Amino acid sequence: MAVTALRKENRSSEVYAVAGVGSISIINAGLVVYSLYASRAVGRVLCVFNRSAYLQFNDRLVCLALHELGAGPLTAQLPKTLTALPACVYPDAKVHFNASGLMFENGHVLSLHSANQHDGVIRSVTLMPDWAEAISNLRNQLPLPHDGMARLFSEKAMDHSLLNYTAPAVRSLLQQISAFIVMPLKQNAHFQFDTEQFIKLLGVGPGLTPSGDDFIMGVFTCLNLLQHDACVRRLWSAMRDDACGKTTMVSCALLELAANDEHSERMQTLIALLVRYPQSSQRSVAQALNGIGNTSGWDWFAGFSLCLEAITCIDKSTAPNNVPYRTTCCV
Amino acid sequence: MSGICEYQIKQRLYLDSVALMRSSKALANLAGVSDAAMMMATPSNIEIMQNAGLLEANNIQATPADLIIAVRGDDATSVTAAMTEADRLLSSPTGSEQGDVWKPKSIRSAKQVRPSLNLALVSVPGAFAVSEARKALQRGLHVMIFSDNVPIEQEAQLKLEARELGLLVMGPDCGTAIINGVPLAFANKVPRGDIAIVGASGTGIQEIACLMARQGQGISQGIGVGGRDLHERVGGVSTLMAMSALENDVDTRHVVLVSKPPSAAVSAKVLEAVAQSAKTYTLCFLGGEKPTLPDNCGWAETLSEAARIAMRQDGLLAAPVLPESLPRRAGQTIHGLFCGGTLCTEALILFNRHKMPVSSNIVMPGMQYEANTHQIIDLGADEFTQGKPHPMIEPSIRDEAIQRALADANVGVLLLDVVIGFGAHSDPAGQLVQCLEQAGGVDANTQVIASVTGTDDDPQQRTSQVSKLVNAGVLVADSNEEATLLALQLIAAD
Repeated sequence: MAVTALRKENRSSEVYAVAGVGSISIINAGLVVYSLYASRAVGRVLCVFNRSAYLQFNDRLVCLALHELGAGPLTAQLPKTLTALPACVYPDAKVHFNASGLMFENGHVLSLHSANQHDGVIRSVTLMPDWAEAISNLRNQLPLPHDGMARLFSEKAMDHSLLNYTAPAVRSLLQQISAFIVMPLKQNAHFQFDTEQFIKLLGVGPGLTPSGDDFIMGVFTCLNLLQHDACVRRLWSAMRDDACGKTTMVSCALLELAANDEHSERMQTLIALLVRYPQSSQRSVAQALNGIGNTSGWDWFAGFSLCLEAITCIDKSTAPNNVPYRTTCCV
Repeated sequence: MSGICEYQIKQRLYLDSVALMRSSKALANLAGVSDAAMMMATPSNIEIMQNAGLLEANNIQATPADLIIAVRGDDATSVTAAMTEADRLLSSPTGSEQGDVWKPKSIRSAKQVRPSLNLALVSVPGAFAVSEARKALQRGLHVMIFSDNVPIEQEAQLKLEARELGLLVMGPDCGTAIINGVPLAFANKVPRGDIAIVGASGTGIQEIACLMARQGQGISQGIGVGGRDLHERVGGVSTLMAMSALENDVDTRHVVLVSKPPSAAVSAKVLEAVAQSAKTYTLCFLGGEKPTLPDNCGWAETLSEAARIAMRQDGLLAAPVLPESLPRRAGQTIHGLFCGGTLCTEALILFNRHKMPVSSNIVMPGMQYEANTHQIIDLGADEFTQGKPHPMIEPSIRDEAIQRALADANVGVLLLDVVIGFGAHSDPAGQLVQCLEQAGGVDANTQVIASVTGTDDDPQQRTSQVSKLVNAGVLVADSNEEATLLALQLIAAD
């Protein structure tokens, strides 16, 4: 099995360069897959979809995916030649890593194409006023899906039962993030997030990664991108214990990865698009959003965009004209 | 809110959101249904369903790994119909090609489709075999474990559990059974008769059954109890159960019991059961000391002897006659490369009988082992098959070893087994001939001797396999015993 540092070799130099400031990094599951492979871990197939399946090895998850789905933080990619998941991958089938790849209980062995490895350096972007406005404009022009958290952008949002339920949680989350960011460092060391409201976002919505979780992932991405990683850490540690009991195992794992700034290749492409070409790529962004799950991309974008708006509002109120918005905590 | 609400929890069932939303809409569109939802049963989703009036219950027992289906309808009939439709939507096979014949993917579904089934053949990697076998036992099925590399502790525990349920576990480490004339896994097409074979050895059962079949004698049952069944830690559980079953089998006159030497305690149990039996027995504990036998029991040192004794023939084989034309190989060595572990053991026994030291990966008590001399290797042993197919399935695994032996000037005889039948390679003789050709053909330096275990009723047809070998210059013996004796004669000093 080839375990390659795909991102390190091929992508780092071109991802997320914005305003001349480096890139954000993506850590992904290469090491997890590699350690499972090295230990010849035995697990089982948790669930199977058309183009991917999740495998559970004790408390660790691996997403076995067709090559076309791209790399991801939990993903072990199948060879390019496979265009469908083989019949040996079915729910509850036992599976283990061996020298040839993944061996299933019916004796089939699937070789793996690659599993990504840690990219290394974490860098952030500097928030420029025109970029934040461009994202806001883009959001207003995009054709919104009928379901999911992106309906929050719509004026008729409150007709939707999901949004009725989540709106107070979203409000609470963004208000507290704003409060954390403007707080002097000496004080925010003692900041306690009140999770009572926004914890309700966890597990809201149908499917494997419920809409509320994708929204939170979007918030995490935005905060990490703008160097508010301390806020992400504090936020996630406040939610983490509850997350396991309130959402699916897969989603919980992806939330943890998002908190650590780890995303799928498709998500990275989307982030790169948003960061580098927000004004010129409305159609591309819509395509990229549609390409991530059913509404997952849009749910994520709702979190990303509303969080960005919240932060921009803070900085706009204090920053002089034509000066880049501050992106770090006030000292 | 008016109407009736009902919900179902499907434990540990994941579906993607597209499928869930489609199904939810399909349910909601049914006549008499006012609202419906299928979601992962997270606390938030449950709360949303409660807020929407879809769930009236407060104490829902579910986890985020479960799926919840909630329906509100005008009356009980509509709600029940919607739940039935939900089950149908969830059980619809997805992604299958049109025209595919549905094949059960689990023991549970196979048993559901054919409730009369009473035996499961488990052929999965060893690490998973016991849990699959348990699933079968729980459903009242006897089990044959084709797998090897099963931990012995797990095997012992499983067999005890099966005995409690009155069910027989065959295998592991013995991939052969012929039950009521039906060959299972590695097995041959042999006629029905009145001799049963209980074997801890797959190729042992095959060789005995085929030698008898070639003389017109059939078998009643061939029960492969597992290579370690007579080991002290397993205690002969399956062997004793098989003997007990055969005791009540009116079609069985005589029983051949073939195994590696059992532990003393297990041997005593087996001999006691033999002594109490109304049937006659032939015991063949390959490489073992002859124990004190009850009156109804004969003793065989090799597989061929066991077959002859069971058929009431003289036990010892008359020395085979070497063709005059074959040059003798005194001073050279024999290199035996076996697919069948028991055939390899039988060869070792004959070497021992002729006081010929060998080196081998099979450890046998009383055997004279010596490096840099004759080599007798079992290529089907666990150390060669972990993560690889058994050489009976993929004989090319021994190609490299064969070619190395042929290139070695010290090797005077290459001794091989060819095992055919169900489960084996489709043309092992052809594969072997190809390998020999790649090595430059059978040359003057090395004589290749082989036996072919099988019958003409097997898919590969023994006669056809023998012809291919003979045409390639291989000396083909009638049995593995004869092949080994011919090899020993060839290298003997004049």
